[in-house]
Amino acid sequence: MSRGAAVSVGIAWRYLVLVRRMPSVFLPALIMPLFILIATTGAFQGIASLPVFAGVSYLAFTVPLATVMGAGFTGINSGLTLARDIEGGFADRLVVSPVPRLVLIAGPTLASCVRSVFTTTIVLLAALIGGLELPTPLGLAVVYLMATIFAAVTAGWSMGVALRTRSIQSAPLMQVVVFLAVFMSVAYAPRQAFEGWLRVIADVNPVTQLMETSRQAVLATVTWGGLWPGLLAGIALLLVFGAWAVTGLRKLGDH
Amino acid sequence: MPHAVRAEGLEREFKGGIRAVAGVDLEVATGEVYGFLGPNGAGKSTTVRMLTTLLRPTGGAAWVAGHDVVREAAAVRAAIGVALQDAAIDPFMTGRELLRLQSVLHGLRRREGQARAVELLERVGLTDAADRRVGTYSGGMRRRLDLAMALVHEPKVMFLDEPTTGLDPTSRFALWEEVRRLNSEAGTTVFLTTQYLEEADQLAARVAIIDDGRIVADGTPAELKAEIGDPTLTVTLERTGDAVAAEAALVGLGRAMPSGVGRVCLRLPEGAAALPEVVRRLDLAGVAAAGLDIAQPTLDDVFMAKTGRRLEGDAEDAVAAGAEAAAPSSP
Repeated sequence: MSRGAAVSVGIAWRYLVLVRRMPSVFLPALIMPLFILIATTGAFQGIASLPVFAGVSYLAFTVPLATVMGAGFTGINSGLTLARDIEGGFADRLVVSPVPRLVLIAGPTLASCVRSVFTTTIVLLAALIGGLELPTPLGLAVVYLMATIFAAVTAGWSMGVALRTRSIQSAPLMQVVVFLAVFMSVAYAPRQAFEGWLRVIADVNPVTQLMETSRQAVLATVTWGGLWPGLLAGIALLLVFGAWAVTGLRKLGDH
Repeated sequence: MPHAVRAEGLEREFKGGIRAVAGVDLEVATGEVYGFLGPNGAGKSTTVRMLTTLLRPTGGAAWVAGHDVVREAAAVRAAIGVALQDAAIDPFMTGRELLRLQSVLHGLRRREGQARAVELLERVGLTDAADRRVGTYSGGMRRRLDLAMALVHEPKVMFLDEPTTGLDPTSRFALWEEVRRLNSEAGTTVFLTTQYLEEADQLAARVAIIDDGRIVADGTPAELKAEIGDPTLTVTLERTGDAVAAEAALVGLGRAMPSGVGRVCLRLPEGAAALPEVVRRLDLAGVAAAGLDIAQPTLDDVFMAKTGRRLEGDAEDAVAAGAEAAAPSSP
């Protein structure tokens, strides 16, 4: 293992230890996706009878929303922890050590990805208990992949915010953008159900592609035609928010 | 390597035109304990943050362990250990976990890191508390852990930013001992910022006094005190109304200094040797003295001479304010 990788794993390990020791961080990221899964299915299952749903189970339709949202929470948590570290001075200890500054981003991102695997597993288990038909192994892999990508993207976004604002008070900003991005996608209904400006936003929102790719993996068989838009959107988001976070590192020496 | 730390015209200006550091020149010899003394807001921590690569200078240049702090920041970070003000330690981790993380950050192998953690915990007396969360540690324990973390990779140059601020006397003395040991046994250069005169006097071979972003004095404590010159004699009078008579009686023995009510102060070039003459003249003038006190110049006198203000009060105020802030509020 290279030095940078070893340090990234070390920093990720710390983030995971902190999650275990701070129930206030751990529980919301676990409970909210389950709540979304149960509450959304309970409230909206009737609309699954609309023709645009093509007869699919609303529980299965909602699973990608819950896994992606759960992954989003784990990503946001990396930004919150970094903001806390900056405010409390612990980030200085990391910055003053002889490691590439990139690991300050890579470590927490890795931790978010690991946590998203755990959250996705819990959501899938809950959905299976609720009657979800087990997706194919490839389908499961795609569900996990889309959630992991979203965890990394939201980690990049929230850490970029933390590095620029240097304050835990930026938490609402980190969260509201992620919520808007998820809920202005095809979170609750297929694209065909949207009209007007909502449809335009859903069409251009890259989270729509992640959600649709994950949804295809749960509801049907995985096809290349259904997979590549999600992969492409995921890679684009990773590049944009990875750059957002990395450029934020330059701000560390400005204060 | 001629100097462990060197700065030439080092400056840092923040947004809004605030110049926290306004052209600092300093040289710290390898193996030296260097005291960087000044009141709150003088620019001590900003200077340390620039020397440790945490903050980019806006002017001048600096080298640590022979490396430029801007162009060779990575090499500087590999050579230094840093214990920053307020002991920024994660309260949710244990002491052992933090030492292991620090070992990873400095590229130690797993077993090597574990062994080093055990050794350092023993050295700073935290073996029994090693697996407790740092949030349960006292201020002194946190400082000792902070020091241990800074020592993981056996740095050539150690920066200690106000390491004893807010500590009780016992913890303070224990930390002083550790700093002395670090310097004498490992030959580590120590750059120590402090607002405590006694700390600088006790630990530092050389001292720089910074005020308002500029170094106003630099030298060994003895040299700096010698610059001030003569010891100060304070005569405490039995009758406050005798002050004028006492001053008149002592004319020619030394330079009069500002003094409080019921006291007369003067610099005595001859020091204690002049005391018999002082007593004789006061007796002849019919002035009754309740006490005679002769004191050597202190670093506070040096600070007073260079800045026109006392440092001692500032430091005590800061400690009191810190204690007040830390105390639970009354119902």
